[in-house]
Amino acid sequence: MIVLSIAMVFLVQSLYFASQALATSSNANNDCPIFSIKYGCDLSAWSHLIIDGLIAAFLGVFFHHLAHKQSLKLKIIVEEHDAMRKRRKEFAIQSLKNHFTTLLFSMSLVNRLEPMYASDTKNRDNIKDQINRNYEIISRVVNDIKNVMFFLNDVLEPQIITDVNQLCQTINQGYVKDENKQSKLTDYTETKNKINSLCRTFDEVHPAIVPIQGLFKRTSPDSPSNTRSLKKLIYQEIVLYYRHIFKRVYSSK
Amino acid sequence: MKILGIDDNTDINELLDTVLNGSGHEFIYVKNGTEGLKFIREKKFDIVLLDLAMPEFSGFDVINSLLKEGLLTKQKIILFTASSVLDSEIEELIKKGVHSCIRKPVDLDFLLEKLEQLQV
Repeated sequence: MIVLSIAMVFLVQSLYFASQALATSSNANNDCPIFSIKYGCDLSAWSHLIIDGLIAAFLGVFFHHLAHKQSLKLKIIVEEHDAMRKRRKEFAIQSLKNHFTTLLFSMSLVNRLEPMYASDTKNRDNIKDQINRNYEIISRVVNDIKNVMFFLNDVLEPQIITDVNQLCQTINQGYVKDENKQSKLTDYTETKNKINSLCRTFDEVHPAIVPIQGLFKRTSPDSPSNTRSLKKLIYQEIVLYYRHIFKRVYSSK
Repeated sequence: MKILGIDDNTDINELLDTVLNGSGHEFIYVKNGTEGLKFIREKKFDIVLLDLAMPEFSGFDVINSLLKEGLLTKQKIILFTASSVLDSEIEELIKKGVHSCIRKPVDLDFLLEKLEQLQV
């Protein structure tokens, strides 16, 4: 690009100096007006006009080429941004659904273990450890959900964000300590129903619109293959564009 | 039942390990597709729970590799995924030889019920 710009500047400068040299040598008078073509008259004025016209044409084509190239680059950047947004959205939904699965599993396990804790006096300590471990998981997952909401809230619908926040609140309120200072998760069914309804809303608000296989292809925007394909795309577009112009000009003739 | 879980989510793997091994099944889990593929080649499982979205070697890569090797229909592979997979994509995978799909999030009871149905 830089080499091309320098070459253009050099060409324009050369043509400019050549035209100036020709112009200074012109000797227009009454016998030879400035644009007349007669035997014995100097043609430098014509040359001046032609060379200036050529410079203008060169510059016009060059700037048009640059503008077209820039617009192609912008188009590619916008497309990349859109693709990245889709990937972020998919990642957010996927992370939330995975966290919800963990929540449901842990809460279900706690629900199964609690009656055992009450009845099985021999393994009480073991069961208590298991219950507490699940509470830790629930607490950690709730924090992870909050992190997802914090970092990826730009790609999620406000309705989803509100619903997820309410869910986190319900789970946090569900921790109840009994007289033995044992945590107790109340309203498991309510939480389960909320998660299920939230997932239905997910599917309604963020329906799958793109084949997921394409989103899993991990390519860095700076990778050599991407740069090559970008250049190839730009050149293909330029060739197609000029071919189109050429065809139009040719057909008009 | 011998069940293999291929999922990069450690919490889910560990919880399934507790529940399934506690309820009389033999559950083994791996955290990525490459290891999962290795296990499937070496051992015979009754059910393989396969997550689709995994870094480096995704569930799609596992399915494609198994398809190339002719092993896809020899295992009962169940997609266990949180991805927004299109129904048409699932149908396509089922045509290739995948058994079925369970979309996350699921309740533990539902999953156990589904596994029991498959055992029959």
